[in-house]
Amino acid sequence: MQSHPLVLSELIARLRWLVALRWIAAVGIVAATLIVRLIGGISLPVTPLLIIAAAVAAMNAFFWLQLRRSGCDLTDSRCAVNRASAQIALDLLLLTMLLHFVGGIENPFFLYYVFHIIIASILLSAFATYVQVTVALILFGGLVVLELVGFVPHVTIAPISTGAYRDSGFVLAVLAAFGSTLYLAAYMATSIVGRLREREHEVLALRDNLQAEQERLRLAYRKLQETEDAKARYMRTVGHQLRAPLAAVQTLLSTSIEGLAGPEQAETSDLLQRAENRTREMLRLVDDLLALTRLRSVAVARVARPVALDDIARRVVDLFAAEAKAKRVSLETSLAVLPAVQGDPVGLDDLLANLVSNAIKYTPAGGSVQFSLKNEDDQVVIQVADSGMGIAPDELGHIFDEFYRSERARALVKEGTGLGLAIVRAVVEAHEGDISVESAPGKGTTFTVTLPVARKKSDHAAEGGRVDRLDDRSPEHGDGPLLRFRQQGAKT
Amino acid sequence: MEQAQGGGQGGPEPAPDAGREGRRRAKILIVDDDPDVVAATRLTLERRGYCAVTAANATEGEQKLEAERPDLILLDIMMPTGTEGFHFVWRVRQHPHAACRDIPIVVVSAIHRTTDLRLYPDEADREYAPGEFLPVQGFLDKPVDMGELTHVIETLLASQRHP
Repeated sequence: MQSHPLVLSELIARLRWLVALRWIAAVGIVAATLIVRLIGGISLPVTPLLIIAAAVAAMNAFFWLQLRRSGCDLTDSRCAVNRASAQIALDLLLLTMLLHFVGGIENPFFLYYVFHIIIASILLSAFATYVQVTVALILFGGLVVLELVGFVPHVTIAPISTGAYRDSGFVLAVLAAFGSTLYLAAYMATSIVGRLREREHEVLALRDNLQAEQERLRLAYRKLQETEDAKARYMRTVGHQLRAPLAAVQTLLSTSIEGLAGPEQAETSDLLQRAENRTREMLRLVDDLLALTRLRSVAVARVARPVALDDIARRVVDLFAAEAKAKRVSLETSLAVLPAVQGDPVGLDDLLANLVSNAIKYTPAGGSVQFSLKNEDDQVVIQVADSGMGIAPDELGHIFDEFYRSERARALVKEGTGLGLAIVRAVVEAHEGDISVESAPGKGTTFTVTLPVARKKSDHAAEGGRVDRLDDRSPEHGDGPLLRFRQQGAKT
Repeated sequence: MEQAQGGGQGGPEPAPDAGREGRRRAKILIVDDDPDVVAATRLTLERRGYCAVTAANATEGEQKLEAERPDLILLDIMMPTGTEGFHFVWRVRQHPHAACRDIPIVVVSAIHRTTDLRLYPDEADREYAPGEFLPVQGFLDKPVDMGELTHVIETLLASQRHP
């Protein structure tokens, strides 16, 4: 039978336990002898008993040394089992000798044979256990019969001696009871132990399967990571490859349009203008896709550096001031001086630019946009509030989805890639921040982003960061654990 | 090819007369490996009264620099190897002739973000100390907005004339 390493170590542990018990037994024999003799005042053959105790101790010392020397090297359970068998057989022999000196069949302590049978059923196979039972029977039966016929002198212990050892009827009855008890006990114990062993094997097999599954999962995970990285690299390359010619086409178109001055060229000019607009749209899409890909494949821990958010915010405001003015939307700012945040400068720029750009885009003329930046406890709070068209409740759950643009948004503003908020979410997640939206149709929208100021550096920055990203998109996390949507009551 | 000078032709807004003389004389060197961008940019500049010379790579750029002595350089940073543009800038700034050394350079680049990051050279370019700023006078994103381009050029040329 193949020995599972766990089963083997369990067996050796049990052997050690047996050796430990035997020490106690040796001490017990000595103690019992002395107590009975000295305190009980009962006459006992002390010397032979003490010699037997010494023999037990000596034998145990041998077994103990044997275990210490090669206990850890046992690779075959059969060796351990054989040792156990030998020990138990010797125990039975010594018990028999002990019993002879304390009155043989007259001393009820022959019941102690049962302990050895129980131990045997734990350590040995069912068959071996029955063998040990037979050995016990032969030893005890032999002793008792020999005392009965007088071959071996009986040792009489005064208080318990009844002379029954000479009564063959009595001896037979006791031996019958003794034998049947031992066999039945062996049967019961080995049945239970057998079933336990079955369960144990099942559990071990399950455990092994589980470990194999875990290994397979780990490999699959790693492959997934590699695939994601390859995908991101590919997208990045394609994006960059698309960008250059698109930019060139747009330049060519705008230069052409500029040269078409006269009224007779108005038609051509119009068509070219439409072409230029579409090209601009494509460029924006490529830029957004590149931004998103970049965020998903670059671990922020790798590019993180101290970033002056207020500087970036001011630049973003400058960038959109003209557009806001042209639309007659007021852009108010409240930008506190902030401590440096550890983060990705490009990502944070994207975050602020997208939020402000959206706010202006979806606010009709005469409206207002409030952009605020402040420091609260251990985090930076960014808030972009607009008095624009707002977001309907059934749209709120989707606004951060890639390419999602609600019907109402599309109606108000024709162009848009639908990636702006996906980028915003990716940046927030990358910085372990939080984002919430408050909005109601016609009542405006407020986006609130909080970012932790001190980012913990992970031990395996690059790898750790990447694994985290994949976790964020695993099924249990659903839409992303960081987003809260609150329905808004009234907002002016 | 008509040069769109006046407003009546629907071209770019004319600059005040005082500057036109200076503008017509200003020579701009365009260094870019994309022939289409070169064609369009040259046309745009010439419409606005500038004189344009072109180079398709850094080597040709240096030749033209010596031969033509432009007043300003428009440089595409993402030329074939990716760092050619950086090297060109540094070589210009170390040119034996003082006049060449101080030529304003405007970098036009297909890296599509206007962030401080772009002032740091590529990590792969170990010759430069990380964080060292590139000694250029302006950064523009491709596709270049012609109005912005004109504005940047005029500002830089004006500051050259009146330091």
